[in-house]
Amino acid sequence: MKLHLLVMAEFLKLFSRISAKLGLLASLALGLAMPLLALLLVNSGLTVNGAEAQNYFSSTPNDALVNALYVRSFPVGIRAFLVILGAQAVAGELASRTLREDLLRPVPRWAVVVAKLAALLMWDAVSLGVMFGAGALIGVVALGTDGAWMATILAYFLALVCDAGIIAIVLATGVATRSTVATIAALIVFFVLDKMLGWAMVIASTAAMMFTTSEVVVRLLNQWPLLPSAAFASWAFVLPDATVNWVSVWSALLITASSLLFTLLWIRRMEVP
Amino acid sequence: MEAAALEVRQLTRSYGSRKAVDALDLTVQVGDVYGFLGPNGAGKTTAMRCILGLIPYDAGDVVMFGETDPVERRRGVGAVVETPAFHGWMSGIDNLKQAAWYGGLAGRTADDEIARVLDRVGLTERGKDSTRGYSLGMKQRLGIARALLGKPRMLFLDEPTNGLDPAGMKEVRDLVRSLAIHDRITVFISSHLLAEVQSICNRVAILQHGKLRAEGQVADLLASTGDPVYLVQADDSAALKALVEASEIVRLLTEENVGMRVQTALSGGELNALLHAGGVSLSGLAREQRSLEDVFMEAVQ
Repeated sequence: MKLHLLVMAEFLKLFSRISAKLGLLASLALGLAMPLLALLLVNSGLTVNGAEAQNYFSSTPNDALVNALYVRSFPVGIRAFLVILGAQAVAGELASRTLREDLLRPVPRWAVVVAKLAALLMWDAVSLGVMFGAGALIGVVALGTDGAWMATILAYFLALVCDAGIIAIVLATGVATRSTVATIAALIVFFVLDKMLGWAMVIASTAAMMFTTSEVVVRLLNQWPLLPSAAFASWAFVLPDATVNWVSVWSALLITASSLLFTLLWIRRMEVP
Repeated sequence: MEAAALEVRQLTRSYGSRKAVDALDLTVQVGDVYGFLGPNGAGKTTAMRCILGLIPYDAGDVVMFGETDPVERRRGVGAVVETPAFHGWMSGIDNLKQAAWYGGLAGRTADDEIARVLDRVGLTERGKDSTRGYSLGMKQRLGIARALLGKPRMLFLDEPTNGLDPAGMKEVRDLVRSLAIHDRITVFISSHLLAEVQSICNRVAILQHGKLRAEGQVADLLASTGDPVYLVQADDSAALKALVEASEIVRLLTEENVGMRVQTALSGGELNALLHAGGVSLSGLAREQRSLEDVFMEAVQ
């Protein structure tokens, strides 16, 4: 078994999907739009709360790149393409029975999962690269070269690590549900509930400190950085004033590893239609 | 001695309390065109999926060319299970390329192999078209082309003519026959179309309720000691049918436009006398060559 050939096969399938091409186009558009938006806002002469807009909006290119990452990480942002592509790769292929055709070849099932994960990560890296490249090019031309470039580049690499966790969760949900629609719906519900839980924990931990509550409860409520929503936003911890920390990075890695393990164990005994 | 292409021993697979495959024993020798017969729901597809490692089984052993590991035994084997599935947005060539890479073929070798199998199934002209526009027959042929990638020693075909029109059925049948004869590929073909199997297989197994009911060379089964079959005709076919159905020594096999096919241990003269004594005058009586259908009906009744 030659794993690189499996990755190539998954790459061919993935990159020929319309959703993959649209996702890359959206990444390019976002990368181009954010520096231009920053330039527009700074030079607009708009006043916000009685002050000029340029007091609120940074005009450095790397800030525009970081803002692009924030927009990308919205549930309806480019990460949504990642969820769709991941759901199509396993659940969709189980439903359409094309996964069966791959498993009729002399390849172990774990290798198929690893190849799909690798292809999705490659798509994600290209998507991030296109966004960074387009944003940096336009940003430097329009806004100059100032800014914390090192932290921004690091944030892009960490975004890839965080996206690996999302891919792993999508693959795990896909093998369990065997349906693209069910996988996407389950992921939406999961991330909404997770986000709401995070907000509830932050509010409750603040309230708990105002009243007499046991130390264990307060400590428990302060663990919100471990939740997936915080973990998958942990790419921001390298940036100044970021509220996430290393704990979220470790949580992202743990979620990735456990989701992947679940997928591999599940697919090992799975009945292929 | 060369290892058998496929050896299945006591293969058992249950769904709840129902045994879909029950202690199945099969041996397919290299060079066989092996028909795997059974009515719908007999357990053919379940057995084939167990053999190919798509689903786990509860007990038994499967050995292909001496290999027991599910991944290893798929090496050198091609398969088309039910209707072949393709990525509809990709061309036939890209679908094959992806499958070739999965099979360990790369670069020029993969390209040459794709050209060879497309030519073999007569799809060279349509290779660049998206598979979404393929007819069922074309998909079936492309599925066989995919199974032929890497020059397999053995081919598994599950109901390969299902849903095809007569011309498509003939195309697939001719292709299978040619693969067996010219390419010397061992073929394991599951079907419920008996005439089709009789015309291309040298050996068959008959499965019912997951159990093996009969197994052997087609020629031996056709010449086996089963009672002779007669085609009988009478002007009063209703009376003939009533008499046969009431008889304990004559069995009605099928009713056809030209008469009734019955099976009995009696000779032709004795059968004629029996029916005459029952008040039915025959207008025709002829002994028929046993067909695989007769063997099948005997096995499953």
